[in-house]
Amino acid sequence: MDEESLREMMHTNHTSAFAWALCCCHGDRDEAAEVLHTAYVQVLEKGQRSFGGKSSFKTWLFAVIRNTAKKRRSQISRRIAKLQSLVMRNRIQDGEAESHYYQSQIREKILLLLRRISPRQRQILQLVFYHNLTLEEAASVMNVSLGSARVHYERGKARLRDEMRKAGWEHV
Amino acid sequence: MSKNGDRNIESVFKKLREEEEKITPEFHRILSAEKSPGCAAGWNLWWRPAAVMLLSALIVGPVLYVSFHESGSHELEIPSELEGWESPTDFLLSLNDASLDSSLSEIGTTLWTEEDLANLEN
Repeated sequence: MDEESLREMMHTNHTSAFAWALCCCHGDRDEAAEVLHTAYVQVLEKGQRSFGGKSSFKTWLFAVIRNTAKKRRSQISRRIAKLQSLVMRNRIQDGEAESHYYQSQIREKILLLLRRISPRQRQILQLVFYHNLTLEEAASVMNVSLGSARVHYERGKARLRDEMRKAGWEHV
Repeated sequence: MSKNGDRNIESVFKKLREEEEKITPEFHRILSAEKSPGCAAGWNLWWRPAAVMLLSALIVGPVLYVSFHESGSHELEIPSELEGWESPTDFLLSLNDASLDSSLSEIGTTLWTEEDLANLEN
């Protein structure tokens, strides 16, 4: 696949890719933009060799984004741990980032609801319900077995339904 | 219940998608290497300690280097006037016991001969 085709496919999937980056970055818009930029650069640099066409481009791109976000977060965490600025991290993660993320009231409510389930369950549910991926594709993006993905999916749904009931969201 | 629950979950994610589509930045803006404020904040965490360490290395390094070399040169360099100097008591180290006994004056005798005193007077 040549560079022009890669650019075109990234452009086509851009909105979904950004939403997925947001999900992987716990809602931090700036971080999501940074991760997505890094992922796009990686795709352009390595995509011609790395993308084998075994999965759909979207699934492959999502896996690249997830890995990029994971790597970035672990780097940030290590640095922050070294600097012992836990307080600052909490401020950035919970305060400044969320102030960007929670711009809309509806979105804020949904994200608060989604925060009540585990990150892995949230990501599986987002891939299936938000991005319309199959469970197999979601498992591929998450780099987990289909069985494991199914467990996260079912438990995530049960937990989310429970939380929606508690929050009075039964009839959205 | 489950189907209905799934529909509710679908509608939650549908609403979330609608909201997030509004805030998605343009593709070309993301692809171009435009640094976000988040990145700048992350960088700010690092450049200060890094700059302090670099400055410390630049200041302390040459000072240590010079002091090390100066102290080393003091140890190695011997002034020329001291090179041939010998202690007046060095001969005692090579004198055997018998010679030492015979060269010492007996107790009660004067150390000064009449000749020595005459020389002093002159």
